Amino acid sequence: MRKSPVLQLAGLFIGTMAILFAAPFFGMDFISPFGLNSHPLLKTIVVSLRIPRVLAAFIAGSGLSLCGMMFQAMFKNPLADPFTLGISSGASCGAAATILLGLNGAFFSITYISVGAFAGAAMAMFCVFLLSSFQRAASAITTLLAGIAISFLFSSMLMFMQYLSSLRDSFHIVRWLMGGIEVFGYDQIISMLPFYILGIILIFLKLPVLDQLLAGDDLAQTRGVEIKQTKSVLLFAATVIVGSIVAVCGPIGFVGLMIPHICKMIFKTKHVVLGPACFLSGGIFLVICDTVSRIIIAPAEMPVGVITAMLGGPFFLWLLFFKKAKGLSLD
Amino acid sequence: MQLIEVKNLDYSFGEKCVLKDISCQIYKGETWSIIGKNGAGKSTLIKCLAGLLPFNKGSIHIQGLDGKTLRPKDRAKIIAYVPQANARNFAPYTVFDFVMLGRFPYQGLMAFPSDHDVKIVNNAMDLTDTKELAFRLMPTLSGGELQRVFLAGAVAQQTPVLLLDEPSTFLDPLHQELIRKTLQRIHDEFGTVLLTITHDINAALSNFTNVLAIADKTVLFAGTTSEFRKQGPHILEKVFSLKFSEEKFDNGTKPFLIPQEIPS
Repeated sequence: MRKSPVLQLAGLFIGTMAILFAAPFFGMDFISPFGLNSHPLLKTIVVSLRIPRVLAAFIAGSGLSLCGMMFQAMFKNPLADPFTLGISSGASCGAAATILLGLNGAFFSITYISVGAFAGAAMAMFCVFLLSSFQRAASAITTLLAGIAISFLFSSMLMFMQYLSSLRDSFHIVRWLMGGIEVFGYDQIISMLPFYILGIILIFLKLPVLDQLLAGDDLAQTRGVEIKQTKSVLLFAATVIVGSIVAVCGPIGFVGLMIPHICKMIFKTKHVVLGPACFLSGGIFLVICDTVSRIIIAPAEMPVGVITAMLGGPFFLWLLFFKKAKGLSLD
Repeated sequence: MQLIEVKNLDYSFGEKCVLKDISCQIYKGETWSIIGKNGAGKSTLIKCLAGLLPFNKGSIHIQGLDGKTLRPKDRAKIIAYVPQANARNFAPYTVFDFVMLGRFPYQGLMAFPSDHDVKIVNNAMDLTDTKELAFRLMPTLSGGELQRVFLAGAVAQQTPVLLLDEPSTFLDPLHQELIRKTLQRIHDEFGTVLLTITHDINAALSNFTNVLAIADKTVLFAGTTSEFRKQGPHILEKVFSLKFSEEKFDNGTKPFLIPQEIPS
C-alpha cells in the first residue's frame, strides 16, 4: 500500500502536463489540434484566447492551493485559508472600491481594479499581522481570530459600498465576487507572473520549515527555526500570491481550503512532497473547472467560482466519508 | 566542563515578576531534577534556557556562548527541549518522520535526510524503544508512547543538554518506569546532561545527581542530591510549604520522603 512519493509526484506531474496541453482545445467548440491550420481564426482562438486562459487558471489554482496548505501548517488549523484570514475579502473590498469610484483604466497594463485588489489584500494581511504581533507570543488561534474579524470587517464594508452603489456598479461587483477567469491575451498573465513566481519560490524554500511549524512553534524554535522571520516571509509570500491572483480572477473559493486537504489524504504529511502535490493538483483542478465552466452552458459562461465548489464539494465529501481519510485532522 | 551558566536571571511577564535573581552552574556528567510548587517558575526557567522566552536581566551562557545572541540553529545543536507531549491535534506524521524532524539543525535548506540522518534516527528509536512504532501515526499513540517518541526526537538532535518538562507526570507506573529507564540509557550512552522538571520527589532524589529547588521566584537550593538529603524534610517544607516525614525502607540508605496531611 506504501507508494513511493516520488513516483506519485511524477504521475501527478505527467497528468498535469497532459491536461495543460489538452485543455486549450476544449471549449464552446472542440478544436482539433490537427485542424488548427484549416482556418486562421481557429489558431487565433487557441493561441490568444484559450491558452492564456488555461495558464491563468493554472496560476490561480496552484497559487491559492499552495497558500492554503501553507496557512494550514503555519496556523496548525485545518480551516485556515486565504478566505478565513481575510486576505480575499480585503482584496474584494479594494476591487469594489475601485469599481465604485469609477476608476476604469489601466496602469501599465495592470487594471485599476487589480491595483485596488492588491492594495486590499496587503492591507488585510498587514492588519492581521499587526494585531497578532501585539501579543508577545501570539498563538495560532489569536491570529486566526484576528483574520476572521478582519474578514468580517471588510465584508461589511463591501456590503456598505454595494448598498450605496448604482444597480449597474452593484451588478459589476457581484459578478466580480463570483470569481472568474476572464483573461484575454497575455497582458494580465504577465502582470501576475512576477508576484506569483516570487511567492511560490519563497514558499517552496520554506517547505521543510512548515513541517517544523506544524509540530509546534516551541519545538520548531528549539530545532533552529527563526520563527518571526520565517512567518514574516511566509505571510509576505502569501499576500503577493493571493493579491495578484484575486486582482485578476476575483475571489475563487474552495481551492485554497479543500485541495490541500485532498492532497493530505492522498500524499503524506511531509511538506516537501505535499507542497508540489498541492501546487500541481490545485492548478489542474482549476483548469478543469474553468474548462467545464466554458462548456456547460455554452455559448454563455458560468463563473468558475460556482463550478469549483460544485465539482470539488462532492468529491471531497466522498474522500472524507468513504475513503479512510487518515491524513485529515479535523477533530 | 561547564555547559550552562545562569547569572542573576530575572524574568517578568508584563508587570508580573516570575523569576528573580536565578543563578546556577551546570557541568558535564550531571543530571538535574528541578522541583518546586506549581507556578513557581520551573517551566519558565526551562523555556529561558531553551531560548523560547526573552529574559529581562542577567545572563545565560551556553558552552561559553551568550544565550541572548545565540542563533536558534546553533543553540539547537547544544540544547534539545522536550515539551509535555500532547497527542490531541497533533499532525498526522509517522513516528519516523517526526523523529527525523529532530535532525533539522544539521540539514540543508530543503532538509532532505541523508543516510547518516536515517542511521541516527534509527539509533534514537532503538534507544527509546520506539522502533516498533516507526510507521504509526502520531495521533494514534498513547501518552506513554508519545512521550518516548518526543524523547527519540530530542535524542536524534544529538545535543549535550536535554531539557524535559515533566516527562512522566501523566503516565502510569509502567510508563513512568520506561521513561526513567530511557533517560538513564540516554545519559549512559551519550553522557547527556538532563534537566528535568518533576513532582516525584523520591524519584528525583534517587535518579538524579543534582537538585535545583525553586521557591519564591528564586533558587532555594542548587547542589548535589546527597547534600539535599542531608537537609532532609526541612528543606522540602520550605519548597512546598508542606511538612514531610522521612521513612526508612531498604536498610535506610535511601529514605523515602512522604508528604504529611495538612492539619485542619
